[in-house]
Amino acid sequence: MAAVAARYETFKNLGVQVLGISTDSVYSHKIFAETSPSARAVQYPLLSDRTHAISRHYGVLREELGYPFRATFIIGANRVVKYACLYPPEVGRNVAEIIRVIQGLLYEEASGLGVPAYWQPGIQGIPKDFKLAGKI
Amino acid sequence: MIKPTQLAPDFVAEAYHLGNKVTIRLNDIPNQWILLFFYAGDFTFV
Repeated sequence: MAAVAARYETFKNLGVQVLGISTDSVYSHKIFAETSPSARAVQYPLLSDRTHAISRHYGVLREELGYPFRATFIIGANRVVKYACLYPPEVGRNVAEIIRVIQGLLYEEASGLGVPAYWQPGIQGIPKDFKLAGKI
Repeated sequence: MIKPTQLAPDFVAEAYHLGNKVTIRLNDIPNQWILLFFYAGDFTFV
């Protein structure tokens, strides 16, 4: 979550609203944000899923533990989910990859071109024309 | 688990934001892309 905070300006410039959510209370979020060096940089809302209903509804709650997997969802402006990912509990997120996926989605939306593996902004997309199948 | 192409389930939640307690409803967020990320808990590692 500090990793997301470190790239907050990038998300803002892409027009992305960032929301962090855990099963902690808002009171916990407040003290966390005020005291933890890593959380002090958090500029986006920290949501409280006290009843576990949201984590459960999204299918990412670890019922036996009462808290969710490290799950990431990218949601389009029309509220359609574009990306869903679960990380292993042992390993933190690659925020650069989340940004790359958002940039790829925005690029596809604007250009209509396919976004190949390892695509980065500045790399040309691939025409999706059926006639080109087998030629690329 | 909610998957790509599905509609993001709407929800209402209390939130902490820049010193304030606010209420956030997903579907009240204006026409904007959203990054929603779940984490295990405050004060935990990674």
